[in-house]
Amino acid sequence: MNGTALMIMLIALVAIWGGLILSIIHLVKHPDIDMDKVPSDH
Amino acid sequence: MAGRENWSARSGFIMAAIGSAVGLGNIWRFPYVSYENGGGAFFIPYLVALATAGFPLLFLDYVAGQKYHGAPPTAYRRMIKSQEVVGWWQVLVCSVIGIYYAAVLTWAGQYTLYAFGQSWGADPEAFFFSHYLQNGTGLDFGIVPSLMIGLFIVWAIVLFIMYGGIQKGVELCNKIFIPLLLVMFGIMVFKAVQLDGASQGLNAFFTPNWEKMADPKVWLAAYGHVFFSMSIGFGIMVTYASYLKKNANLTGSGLVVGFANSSFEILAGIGIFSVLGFMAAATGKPVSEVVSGGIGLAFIAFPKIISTMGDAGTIIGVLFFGSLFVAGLTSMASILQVPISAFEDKFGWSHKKSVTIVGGVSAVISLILFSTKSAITFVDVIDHFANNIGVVTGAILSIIWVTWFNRPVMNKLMSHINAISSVKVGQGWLFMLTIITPLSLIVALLLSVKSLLTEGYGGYDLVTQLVFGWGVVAVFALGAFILTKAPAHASHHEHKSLDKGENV
Repeated sequence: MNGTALMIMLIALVAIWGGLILSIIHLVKHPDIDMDKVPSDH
Repeated sequence: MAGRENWSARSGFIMAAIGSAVGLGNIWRFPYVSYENGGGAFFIPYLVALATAGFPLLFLDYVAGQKYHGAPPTAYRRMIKSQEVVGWWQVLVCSVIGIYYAAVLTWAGQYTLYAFGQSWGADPEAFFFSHYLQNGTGLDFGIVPSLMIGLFIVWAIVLFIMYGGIQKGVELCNKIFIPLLLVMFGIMVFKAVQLDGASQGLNAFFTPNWEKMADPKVWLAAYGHVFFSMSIGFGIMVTYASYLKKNANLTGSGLVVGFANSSFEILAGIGIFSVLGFMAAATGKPVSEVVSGGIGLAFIAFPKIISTMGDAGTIIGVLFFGSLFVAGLTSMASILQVPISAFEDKFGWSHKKSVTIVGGVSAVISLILFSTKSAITFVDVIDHFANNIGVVTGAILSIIWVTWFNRPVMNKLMSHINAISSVKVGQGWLFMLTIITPLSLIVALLLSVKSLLTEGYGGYDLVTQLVFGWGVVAVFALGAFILTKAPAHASHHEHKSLDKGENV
């Protein structure tokens, strides 16, 4: 692969797959709130 | 009327939502759209579209379904009474898409079997049109027995899944098939990048053409693709979110679903262009002369490439068509869940009754139309009109009904999301849904309508376009009004707010 294509591929992979990994980590660290903590008007 | 089911766990919902978003389009549409619109440079408008339209609309779908606890017609009615008609438009669009999607799924399934023996021989194009589809000239309603048998089997599998309901049907199906899809497609990509010429294909896919960034059509293509790819704005995510519990972390789950969908697309781009690079190297042509997308890529170009690989091609062929089938099956389940759930909610039908009537009628129409020698004509015309007019119109209406005409509701939705979700939304979210998302869709719709009115579609005769194109659009409009006016079960009108017994 040429240098530019390789660089774009790496940036795209980092942005998208990195986004997936970060969002999974975020979700694992933020479980659903307890039922009794859901505001009554929701 | 029995109580509404829930997903057994958050992971069940996420898996099902990923299964819905990851479909045939990720494999055969994204690589081609990306290549045609600037190669590597396309990732900039793609990421912008993801942030400014994809995620905002995904969150809107989630909150509408989860807060108002219903498929689109019921959820929208409980949110804004007059919006029920938009929900029925989306339900009818999904029903029509499901009817022809089964045909493409059948082709993918039967080609998985053909791939074992590379049954298409030396001329895959002639095999596909003349031998497999037995494509006639003009409209030909002659039956092709092999297509009918394949369709029957596909509908039997899909209805078997749907009879299982949310937990034992849709959720279980996705928990089995999504890992299977990842393994099969992962192996295919692993094999593909090792082919001679793969780097040539990847150069074509990732090398940026920065001049394209100045072309508004490229940006429109990015918005259009993100929107179709994420299964947003046509009722599926509203329906799936309606089975979430009242404490579900909407935005946190949404980010995982959206990024998972995009991650699969990138993987698909790498796999497909590695294979196209091999073809280019083998034939001594540039990649630009072998590139294609959609049905042409899957059923003509890929078989040609597989044939040039010898025995190694058999493995790639089975994995490719198997992946198409599995990705399509999980999407098909999500598409059919929309009308099934909508009829349950509105008329108080049991789940089994709804699957039998909605699924049964869909299957019969599908078998009548897509077992014929004109199957590909019907797929092509109905798909074009259902997506470019039906889906886009439904999405625009579902957004502007709230953001333009019932603005105070947005504050309630925002407050609801922020009360239960880890990633908060604010004025930026409101701005995107008020300006960016609807305008990008409206421009796309106007361009599609203008093109259809001035040039027609695909060179088909006027009768075919009027009956199977504009006629289908008329069915969406007429059906939406009739179903909105139909007498409903009492539960359709009131909203027992998520186990709290609160009427909204």
